[in-house]
Amino acid sequence: MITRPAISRRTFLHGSGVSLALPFLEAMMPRLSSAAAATPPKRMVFACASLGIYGPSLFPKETGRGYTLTPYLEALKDHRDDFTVLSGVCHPDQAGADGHTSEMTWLTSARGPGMGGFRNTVSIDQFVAEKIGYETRYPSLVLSSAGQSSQSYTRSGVMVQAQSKPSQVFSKLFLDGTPGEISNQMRKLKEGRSIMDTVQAEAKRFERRVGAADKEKLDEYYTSVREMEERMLKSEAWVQKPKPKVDAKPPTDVENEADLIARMKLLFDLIPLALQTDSTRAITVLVQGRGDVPLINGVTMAHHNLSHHGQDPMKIEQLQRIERAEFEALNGLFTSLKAKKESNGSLLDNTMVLFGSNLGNANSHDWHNLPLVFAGGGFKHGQHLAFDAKNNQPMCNLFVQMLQRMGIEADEFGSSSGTSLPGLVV
Amino acid sequence: MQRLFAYLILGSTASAAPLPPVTPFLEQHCTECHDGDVKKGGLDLTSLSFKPEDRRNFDRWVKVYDRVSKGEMPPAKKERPEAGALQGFQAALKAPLSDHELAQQAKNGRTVLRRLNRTEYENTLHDLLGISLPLKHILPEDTPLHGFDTVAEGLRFSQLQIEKYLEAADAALDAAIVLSKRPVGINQRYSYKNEQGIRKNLDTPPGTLSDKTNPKSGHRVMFRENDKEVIMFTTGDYLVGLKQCRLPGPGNYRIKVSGNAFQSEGEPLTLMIYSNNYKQKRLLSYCELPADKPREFEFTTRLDGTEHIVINCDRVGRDKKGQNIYNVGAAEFQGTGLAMQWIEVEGPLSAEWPPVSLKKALGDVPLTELGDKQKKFRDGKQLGYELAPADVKLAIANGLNGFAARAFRRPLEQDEAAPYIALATQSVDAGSTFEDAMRVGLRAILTSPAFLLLEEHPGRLSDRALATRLAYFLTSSMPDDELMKVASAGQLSQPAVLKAQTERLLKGPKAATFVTNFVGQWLELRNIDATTPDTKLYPEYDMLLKLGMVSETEAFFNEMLTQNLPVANLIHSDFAMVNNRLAEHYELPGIAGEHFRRVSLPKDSVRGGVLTQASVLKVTANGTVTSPVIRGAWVMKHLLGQPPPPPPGNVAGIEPDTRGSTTIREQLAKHRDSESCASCHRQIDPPGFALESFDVIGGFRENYRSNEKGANVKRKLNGQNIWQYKEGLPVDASGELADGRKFQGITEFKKLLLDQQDQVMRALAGNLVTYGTGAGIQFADRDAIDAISKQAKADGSGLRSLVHAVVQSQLFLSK
Repeated sequence: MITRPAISRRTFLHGSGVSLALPFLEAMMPRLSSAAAATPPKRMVFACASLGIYGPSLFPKETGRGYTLTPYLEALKDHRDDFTVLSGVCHPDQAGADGHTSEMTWLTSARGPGMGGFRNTVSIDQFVAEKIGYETRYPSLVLSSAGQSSQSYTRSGVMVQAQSKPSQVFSKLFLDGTPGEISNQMRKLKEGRSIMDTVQAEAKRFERRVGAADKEKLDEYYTSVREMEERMLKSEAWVQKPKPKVDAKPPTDVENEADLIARMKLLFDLIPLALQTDSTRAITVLVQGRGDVPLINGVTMAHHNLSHHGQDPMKIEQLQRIERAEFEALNGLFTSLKAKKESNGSLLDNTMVLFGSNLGNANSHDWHNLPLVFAGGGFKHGQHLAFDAKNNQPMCNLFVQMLQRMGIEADEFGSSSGTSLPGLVV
Repeated sequence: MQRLFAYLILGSTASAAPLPPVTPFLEQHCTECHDGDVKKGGLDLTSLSFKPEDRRNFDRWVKVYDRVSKGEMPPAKKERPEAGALQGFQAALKAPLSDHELAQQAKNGRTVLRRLNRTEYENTLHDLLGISLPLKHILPEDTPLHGFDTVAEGLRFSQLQIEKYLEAADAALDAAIVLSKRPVGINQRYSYKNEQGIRKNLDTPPGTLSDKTNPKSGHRVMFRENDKEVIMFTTGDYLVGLKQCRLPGPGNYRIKVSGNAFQSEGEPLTLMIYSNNYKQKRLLSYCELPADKPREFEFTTRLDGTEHIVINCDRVGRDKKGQNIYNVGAAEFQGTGLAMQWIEVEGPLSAEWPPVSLKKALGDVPLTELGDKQKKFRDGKQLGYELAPADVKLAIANGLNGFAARAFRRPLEQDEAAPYIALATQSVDAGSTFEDAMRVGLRAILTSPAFLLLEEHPGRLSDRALATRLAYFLTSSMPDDELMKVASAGQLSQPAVLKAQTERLLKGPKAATFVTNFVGQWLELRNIDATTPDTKLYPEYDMLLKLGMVSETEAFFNEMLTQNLPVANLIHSDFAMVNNRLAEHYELPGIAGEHFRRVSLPKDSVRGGVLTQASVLKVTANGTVTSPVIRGAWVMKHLLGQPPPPPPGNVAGIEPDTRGSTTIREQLAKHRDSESCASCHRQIDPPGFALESFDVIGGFRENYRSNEKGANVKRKLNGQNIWQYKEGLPVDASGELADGRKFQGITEFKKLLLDQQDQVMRALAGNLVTYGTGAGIQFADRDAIDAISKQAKADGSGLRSLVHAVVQSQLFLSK
């Protein structure tokens, strides 16, 4: 665990220079006609309600198929055969700097978040973006219901800033710039590349000045600059390609950050559009509900506060109202993914959706037994897959299984101890 | 793939160093439990090799050293090692561990090559370019390590980071390169009588129906006016927003208000002044207004020019009977109001035009002034000037040479700026204007390693590297002209000069950023917004209290720093730094005004020191309940520098319960029953028990607040009965330290803690060194930290002396 990240980073770097160039050319070919005939790609979506999900309202008492719907699952009843409820799953060693630091590692599984010498590792969506991101206009889409925080981390452990304005995401995905804007963008990109060339050469001089002691840090700089240059080169090609047209109106943003559900729904509305046009294949959504009182009927107290309900029945009741509304929004996502048809089934059949939280019990900041609902992707669903509540399954076993389903060669990720969740099959 | 295997094999075959001569000691005292059979706590000392180059192995041995040195191992029920044997063991283990790290430090330095964090980046660009545009939010969040975002190991590069540097540099240059006509500034006094919303409310006859079919829709007048003022019984944004004042553009503004509290029975009011652009409402400043007698209050602030100014006041609009102004109307209303005489706005304040930032970015280039009729526009603004370099390429060379030298914080190597000049020149050759070409060169400089990285070489720092380190330590920005001058003259490393420069920076205006950035991270004040107190349990919590909490702790640290007060004041002080709102919270009578000042505490006060400051008490609670474990762990980590190990993975936390039938102590008692839990919790919990006398917002309590069971509250809030919560079970703040000494509550606890003031000093020294050098404290650094603490102690134990001792230490003077 200690040495692995460094090695895998290096191996990736060796690979990246070559692999980025070749498929890139392929990606520039007009794909639409051939894409329709070929098998649609697999995609993945992660959505996390970072303030937890009240377990007793989610987890069914019975395991396997034929479980009795719980209040939250009731909201998803139309899609019962399209999702699996997972229990007894978590990332190991998540005791961190404070009760909410496991938010940083939900998609990475790095141990001891925020403790002394903690460094985050790559999140699964960014790992996927590195592997196959060149095939789409955007390697990944990182969204949040409010603010810039996300759960997506680059290989060097830097958080990718989330976008929380649906109108901006929509325009980035589907609205072409004016010819003037496009040529301006092209100029900026070319300029950017020549800047990258210059600073790369200057880093050599700097390396001579500082000597061998800090070679590793400078290597990191070189790599980052080189990747930036490659990214700009790819962008130049994409900038000149018209964006896909969709049959949807640009969304109007909900300005009020307290209107959590409306903001969440707007983001969820973008997901099927982005996926079906193959604009990206990896999406993360952080459903942030921190300080304020969500605009939901019957809710009068701040969300974070309610999550620390202290067994107060009034608070639990309000918390359930919020979370039930979140599940209704999730139901909306499932419905629209299912409604879109692709050559081999529905878009949902080709899209793995993992919804849940980094907290198993938010009241005590417990990070075991995470609430997780896993849908789509062509798996056999319709069951409550329960693992040992005392000795949890590593969530990364599911991640590896998802990576493989994406067609990515991987037999481990983060803290995985296996390559699949027993009982979860295609 | 082959490379990968080669790497793995190399890694695993690195041979172990010989075991230090500690085996007899371990066999006599340790291996009964820590052998291959029993393997207590997962530790088998019989098979533990000695491989200091392996981080995990190294840390294991440090842990063995520490637990034996602290007397925690062997456990209390076992035979104690003899003093001589113990010393022998310590010496035998310490030397090889230290030597390993010292050799590494000699070769590579303690600190890894460190890049600017986003706060430093923003401040540096502000200084380089003479701008005040916020930039921090453009860059990705930095990852703090060892508690601070200055630690080099956490400050990494990625493609994303580079992308954002280009973006931030662009934004900064946009703000710096200003060629528009001088904006017609404003400097005007406004009366709220002329404010449209207020005017309409005053001029509409009371009772006028807004909805003819609804008899309840009668108009309510909520203001009164007389010849000198408007009295406001509401400060709803839609009514009192200052729409009369249209801001001409971005820049610094001076705002001045005159107002007083009205019908307040002698009580003052706090006025808050915001900017609002309908997307974001931002607090600019606040002030206390006395009863009946107008007060004038002035401040300057940066505004974007897209906002308008709004004043708010929390405590108006409700009378003693609890009636709302909406139900009474201004004429009969007996409750408190806000009397506003006027508000003045002046700005943008700029001595020079075009602003100095233009020259700082592009160099000293001749300008042609454009006449009014030459209508050239950029971004909707009419241009007032054109750049007119006589020789474009020469101007580029001069501009970039000068800028690079300042940006790199040192004289340039021969031709070092040449690549940037070439880049810009190519751009000119391709048809760009002088300005566009300069921007390409400037963006490259601002993305280059020489700008982003603090250049330090192993061994003792050069004078210039020292200047940079000192400047980022105490001002979170690049060295100023004087510091550069002293460093260039090769004088900075002389102890007396270094001391004088440290003093100068500490006295300067930017030292405030040191206080904010250091204290904000050391005491975790940056988490002040992480939780919002339960509004039912804590109805008295408001924004002014929250702002005041952070300001108090910063003011306290600043007072210790400027007055060179002994570090023991962190544990207990006979004074507090408060303003009106904090004083109300701490039940200290007779404190008026929003400014923070030093106040002597009554003899029997529970306050004094940082532990009992509301900020600390808030960041260690979750908004609803407190936990002695979390607070105890906080005290160990931040004040004593001994972070407890994280809880074992298989133990669930305590389920908070606010129903009023059980206390956290009762719940914890179950937790502490088992010996394996107790061994750590004996250490962790006691400080937390003492702090149980303080609620989640730092108020003193004798009973927990409950939302179900309990007696009615006798106290009042703003003259009204408290119905929101009940008096729950009584608080028990007594406890027993791990060494058996008992305490009854916070006051006795603080007295006991004063015995550990040397440890507090060492912990603070360690934090200052970590923050200032950008590297965590290693095992081999411990002696140096001890030496710093001893030096500070010899100089009277003052905080300022400690900062000087840090700056003069080998740790600070070497990479």
